[in-house]
Amino acid sequence: MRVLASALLLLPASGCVSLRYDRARVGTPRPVVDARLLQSGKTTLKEALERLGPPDLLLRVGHVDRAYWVAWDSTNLKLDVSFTLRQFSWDAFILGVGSEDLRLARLDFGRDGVLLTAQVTDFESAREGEYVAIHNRIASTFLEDRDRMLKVVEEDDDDEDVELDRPRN
Amino acid sequence: MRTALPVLLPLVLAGCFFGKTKDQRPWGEEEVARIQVGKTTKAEVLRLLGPPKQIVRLLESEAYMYSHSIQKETGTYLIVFNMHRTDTQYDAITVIINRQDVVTAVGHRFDAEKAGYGFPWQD
Repeated sequence: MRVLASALLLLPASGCVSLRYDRARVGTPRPVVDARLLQSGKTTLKEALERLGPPDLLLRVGHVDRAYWVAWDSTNLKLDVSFTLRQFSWDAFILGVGSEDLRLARLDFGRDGVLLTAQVTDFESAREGEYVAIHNRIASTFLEDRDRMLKVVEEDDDDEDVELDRPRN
Repeated sequence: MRTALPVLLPLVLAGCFFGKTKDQRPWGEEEVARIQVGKTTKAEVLRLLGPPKQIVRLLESEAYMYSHSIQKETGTYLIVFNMHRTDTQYDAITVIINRQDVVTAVGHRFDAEKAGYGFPWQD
């Protein structure tokens, strides 16, 4: 029994078994909460910036200027068992529980700078680790818009100065 | 004593770390306070805040976006049980400039210093 207990104690000490508790927080949810107070057809982009602060993502989509405010918070608990001997290795993810909380506000402004639509939503991930927010249209649109902006920035890196000097219509 | 050893051993061999990652902030709240809607020009914004991190072309204007982040990490390793927490907060300024090169809107947030160390369960 003692031998078995010692062997079991050695497993975690050697790094074969680990229990990990992680938390990651990005941004503050305050602007997202305040976005609920804005009025479509009345609030302007100027007022929105004064009230909510700078957006996390801003871009032009078709005939609207779209702004996002985002806050993200995740917690995870994982139990991992791994074993390595010469060329052989084995890794098993025994337990994984946790949650992800994504708070997102999306505001669309018209050419005159007045708020057309405001969508404010809280998303929570499923216990199984599947991110349900991805199935929601607003969240998936946000991810698409973010990817689009990342590409725009990469493409603009080389010719930004040229674009700035270009005369406007 | 033998019973206490397995409990005490992880505490003796435990490790922890604190990490801080930040990028340079070339501007402060005083500079932002000098920006006046309807008065300040694009040239003055560039002089006050420097080049923006990102320029976004909107329908009738341009957005100059400045941001600076601080990420604080806390890790505790008790051999069997490991904890890790990251908190990332931002300072950011967005300046909207119209086709006449005049500022029409400003939004700012100075939250980067609010990033904190702590355990995963702490807010």
